[in-house]
Amino acid sequence: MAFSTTTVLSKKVWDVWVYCGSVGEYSTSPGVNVGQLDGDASLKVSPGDTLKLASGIEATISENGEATFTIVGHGENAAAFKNNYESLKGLINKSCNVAFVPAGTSSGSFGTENVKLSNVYLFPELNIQANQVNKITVTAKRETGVGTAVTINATNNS
Amino acid sequence: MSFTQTTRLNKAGYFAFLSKDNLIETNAPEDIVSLVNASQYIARNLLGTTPIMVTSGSEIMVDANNPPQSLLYCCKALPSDVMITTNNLRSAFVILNDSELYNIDIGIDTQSAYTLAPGQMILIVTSPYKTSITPNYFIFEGVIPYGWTAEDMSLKVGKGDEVRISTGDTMVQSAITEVNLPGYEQFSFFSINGKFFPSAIDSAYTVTDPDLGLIPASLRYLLIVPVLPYNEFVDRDGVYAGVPIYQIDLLNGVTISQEWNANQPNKSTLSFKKDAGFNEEIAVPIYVE
Repeated sequence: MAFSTTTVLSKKVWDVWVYCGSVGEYSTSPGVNVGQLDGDASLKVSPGDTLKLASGIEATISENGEATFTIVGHGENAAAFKNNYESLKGLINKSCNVAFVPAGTSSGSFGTENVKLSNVYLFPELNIQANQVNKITVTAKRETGVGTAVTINATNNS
Repeated sequence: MSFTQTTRLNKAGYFAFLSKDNLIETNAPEDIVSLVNASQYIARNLLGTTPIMVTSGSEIMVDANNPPQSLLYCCKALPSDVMITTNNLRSAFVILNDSELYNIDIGIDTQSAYTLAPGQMILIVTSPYKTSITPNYFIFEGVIPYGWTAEDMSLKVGKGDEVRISTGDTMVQSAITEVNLPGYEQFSFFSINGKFFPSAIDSAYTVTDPDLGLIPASLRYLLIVPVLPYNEFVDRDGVYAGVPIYQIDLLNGVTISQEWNANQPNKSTLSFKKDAGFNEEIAVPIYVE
């Protein structure tokens, strides 16, 4: 690796924003900041169904967007933790957008350096263990049209 | 482990209580959060104490200068006096009426506060809040401390079944609530009708409600309570860092294993797993709004 003035060696901290058009508090772009990523997020987009064309060629007709990430939710106190988890539970089986943006990005100014997962279904998993940090693990996935699951450097989250 | 600014390195302990009743239906959340303070007192002062057998004619006198010496006072006969003075006393302990014959009057702050019927057990929490002077005690009927463990106690609510819908997407149908709860027995032994009950959740702890048919006991509800850092207490407003108290309805899905090893504390591990609709309230958070 060449060291140049542009090399940044510090780790980045990411905020997670969730937008959901059908749930009131999440329905104003860019949605709600649900917490910060704890460690790394896994984001994967893989080919979905294929269709055999008349020519004999197999064409991909969908893609599977999947992400698994763990947030240290807004757990400053017990009420905040509960509300954070309960609120995320309200999104189950509803179509959401999830954006990963550098921590501190203010609402409405996503600019560059973000990753947005569109039209996914979320499921929050509660994980409480003695002597461990309380965490909410979120899985997000959706089979969607080719080329629509992930957007890099989106300008907004709706 | 990657260090980010969100990584917290402090430890977080949990304590568990078992309850005969659905506490959130019978008590105000403001009352229930006092268990956070009770759990700290029990975990730090009374864990592993040997039950005190109270015989006929003896006295139970508890005050600030004479804090409880055991988590469990087991009355085998009728004590001559039970008097608790709550002034400057922060404690939590259990009194069981194992006398079969007598109603035991419990006096708190010079007044008669409760009559304990044969077979009944209560948890008394004194100075339940950090600063509030009143109330100066709570009595929880049919609630027992189950245990505190360092490592393995866990509560998890994860994704259950998924169903594929016509669009090709999968929707979630259920959530799996799992609890793993090893408890070292505080109530290591006592006998009823000449039988010894070494288990923390044996029928010895049931009160008068065998109809529920849960496991070997009628203690149907489990409360997982955070233990705050040393000398930190919650007030009546219920504001504290960490997670809410979770009350879990243990009906169906419980298994218990027990271990006895020479020169080791007896250990009961309660495992609970239930697959239910994701919007069913299996694990109910309790918090003062």
